[in-house]
Amino acid sequence: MKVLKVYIFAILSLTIPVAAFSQPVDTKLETMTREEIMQMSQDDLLELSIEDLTFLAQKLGVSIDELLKMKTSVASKTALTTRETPGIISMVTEEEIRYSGARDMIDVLRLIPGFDFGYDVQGVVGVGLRGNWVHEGKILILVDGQQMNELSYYNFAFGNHIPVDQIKRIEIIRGPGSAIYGGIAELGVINIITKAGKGLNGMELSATYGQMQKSMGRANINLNGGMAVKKWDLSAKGFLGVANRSDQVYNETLYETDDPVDLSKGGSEIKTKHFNIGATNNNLSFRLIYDDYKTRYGSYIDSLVGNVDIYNEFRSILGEVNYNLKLNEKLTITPKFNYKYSRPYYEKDYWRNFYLNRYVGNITLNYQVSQNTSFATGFEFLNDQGFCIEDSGIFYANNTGKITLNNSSFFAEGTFKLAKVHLIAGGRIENNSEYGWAFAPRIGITGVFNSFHFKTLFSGAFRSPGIGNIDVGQNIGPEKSFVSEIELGYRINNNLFITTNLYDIRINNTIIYFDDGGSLAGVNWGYMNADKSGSNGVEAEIRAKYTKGYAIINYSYYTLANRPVPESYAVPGNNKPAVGLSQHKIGFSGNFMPTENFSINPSLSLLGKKYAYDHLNEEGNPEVSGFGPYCLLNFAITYSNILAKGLSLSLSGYDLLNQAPPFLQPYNGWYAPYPGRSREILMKITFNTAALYSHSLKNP
Amino acid sequence: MLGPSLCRRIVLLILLAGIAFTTKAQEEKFKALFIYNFTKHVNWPPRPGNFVICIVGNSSVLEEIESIALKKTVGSTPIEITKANSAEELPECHIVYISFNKSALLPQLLQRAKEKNILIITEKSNSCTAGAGINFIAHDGKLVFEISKPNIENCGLKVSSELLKLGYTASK
Repeated sequence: MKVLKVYIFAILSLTIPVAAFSQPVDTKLETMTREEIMQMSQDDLLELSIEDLTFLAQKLGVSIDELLKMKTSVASKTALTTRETPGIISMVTEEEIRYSGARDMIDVLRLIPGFDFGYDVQGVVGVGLRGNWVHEGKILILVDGQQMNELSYYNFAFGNHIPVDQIKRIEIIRGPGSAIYGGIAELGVINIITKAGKGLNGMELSATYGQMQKSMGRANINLNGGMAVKKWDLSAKGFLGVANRSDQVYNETLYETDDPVDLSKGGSEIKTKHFNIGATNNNLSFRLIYDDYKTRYGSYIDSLVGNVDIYNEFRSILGEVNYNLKLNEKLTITPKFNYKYSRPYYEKDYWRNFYLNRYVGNITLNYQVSQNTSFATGFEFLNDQGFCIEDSGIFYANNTGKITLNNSSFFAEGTFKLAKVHLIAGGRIENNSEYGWAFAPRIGITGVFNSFHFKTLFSGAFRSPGIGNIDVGQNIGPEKSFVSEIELGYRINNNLFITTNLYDIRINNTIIYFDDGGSLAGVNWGYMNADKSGSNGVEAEIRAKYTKGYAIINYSYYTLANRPVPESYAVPGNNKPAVGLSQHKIGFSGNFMPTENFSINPSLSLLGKKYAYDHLNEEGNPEVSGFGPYCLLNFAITYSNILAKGLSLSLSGYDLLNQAPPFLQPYNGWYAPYPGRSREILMKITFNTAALYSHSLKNP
Repeated sequence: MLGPSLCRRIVLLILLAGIAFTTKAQEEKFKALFIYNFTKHVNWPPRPGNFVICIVGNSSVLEEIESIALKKTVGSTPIEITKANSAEELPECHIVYISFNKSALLPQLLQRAKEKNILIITEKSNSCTAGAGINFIAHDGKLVFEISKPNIENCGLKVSSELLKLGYTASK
């Protein structure tokens, strides 16, 4: 940790003299602010050369149309605009992440409707969506098309993990994605697209330091590099980070309360290494990602060696090669091969440490039948192989040190444009060597009528058990869901856009974790298919975009009322909320740029009351308490091109009101709430070499 | 934890702050300025009469370009602005600006453009690929234009190298 702090200081020290020697651009137009440009008369503007006019136009922002016309293919095999695509979509741009000062994906997703966070086990914070604990293999996390969920339970740990400084854009489906992506995307997809070489056009170095009230919050370094060379887009990105999850006092379980740990003195460290290399040309693309994420969740005193820290480590190596073979103007075939090495929940010397290799072959055919009709179909085969690392390790399912799983799937989707309406119909069918068949049909009708749009979506989805679930499962099968969604949107004017949606999620054979205190895996503890579950609710959002800034306000609400809920997820005596997840949430994100280089960014998450097990009653059984509501008020200011072009400084404060909301366990798992982070003040310095040449008017 | 009354006050303040953001859209003004400047960098075969710019569809660009036409000329030729809603209504003109909501008319107008030496300007993505000469797009949040020299020359026009350097070269 101390070594990392020295590295950060050294790098920061080097960037300042380098930036100071950069040549400043020295023309009157270069220094004009947006306000000055807007105040120019038409006569003044008519006297400018087209070169000067082009430069000034690029200094001004555009209207909300830019966001609405962005194409996404996260929710369909065909690229459609956000208003046409068959999914309830949230888009987050690089600028929104940068200006908001978001520290990590928790900060980003706390501003998106429906998302909340909870504590699982062993130092892992996971995500909930629309009142469902989707951390349990029900939400797919993609980085440049690579599945980041670990391969045993399909979990993904949040908190200083995916480097926000590498992100170009995030496309989120707040709903089912199994018809496209298969069995991890039952209730949501988060598709993170990182910066390409062409956009980077050089190097970008960021260093961040955050301080909580009682201990360091985080210290991160990120380096992006990339360029376009002939027809190739090349990029390489690397991130090293250390963070502390909390600086408060903590009891790990409900029954061990005599020896609390003061986390401000250590015990909640997170260590992250993340590298991403990509090479793409018109047809061929390669991707390699290395991700290593460690969370410290305990320690003990070994009589021989003294203090031993317990870290829970997730390590993944992902690789992909794919080729777009354009047979003619209408037909493209894309074969793809993926390899993934996943070593999840690894603890030093733990006898059941294991790793998995996944091999995936996929071939997709895209056929543009006509201007109004397109069709996509394909086949995928995957093979998972799990191996115990220690000689004594075994998988409970077969009492050996190796386990294998195969999965075949066929998918098809048609998109039909009828006047102003898009009809999307398709599905995915899978056969798994362990649990048999699963099917996810989907039909969606979307329409855009000038300023108004609607979406009506009906989707089947499923959650595939992973090797970890199967290993300790009671004849476990896929969890199946059916989701109905309606969205209405209205473009009020050039600058204002509003959407609202209703949803209903019905889940059968809910995969839940059970533990009756016994020791037999699959009998006394493990995973099983339980009752029905699900939720329904409403989400609404207003987006305003102006030349000087933007504002986004949203509200989300879910309820479990009038439906069965597995006992582990239910709040005793209250049939509306799920354990650990707020029913009501308001998000606000604002940006105001009084000058081109200076931005002010307030943001706010209002989390409604939630409930979780946090103590034992007189009989020694877990009992719930209420928590919140919480108001997480944040503020960031960013100054770009400070001292010299390409150098920017960001100062931000998170949870200024020091609410420190705990991460609650969203089921009855006997773990105490994990304490939240106190108010954190951060500084980030970024140096971008591409900005030194940004006035060039050549093609990028 | 936070009391409910303070939460309500904070929400109200934020809503009021959001309403306080006001400004004037600049995009249409700059498009009109660009259209005027394009006339300095594209050569048309000589023909008698005014220099005619036709706006197809509803667009705020119409008001802006009319305002410019009152003040400026192309060389020594007065600028005349006309409006059309269909290919059939299109008069003799030098420039056709197709607004976004009439983009579907581009294929019909292309043949006319080749016969009558017309520069077609659009504001919908991929229009240059579809045959337009110049197309306004948003790139990284900024208003820019893409330009296709082959499409312009197919209409019997010549474009200056200076203009080609300023625009994004349209590619298939």
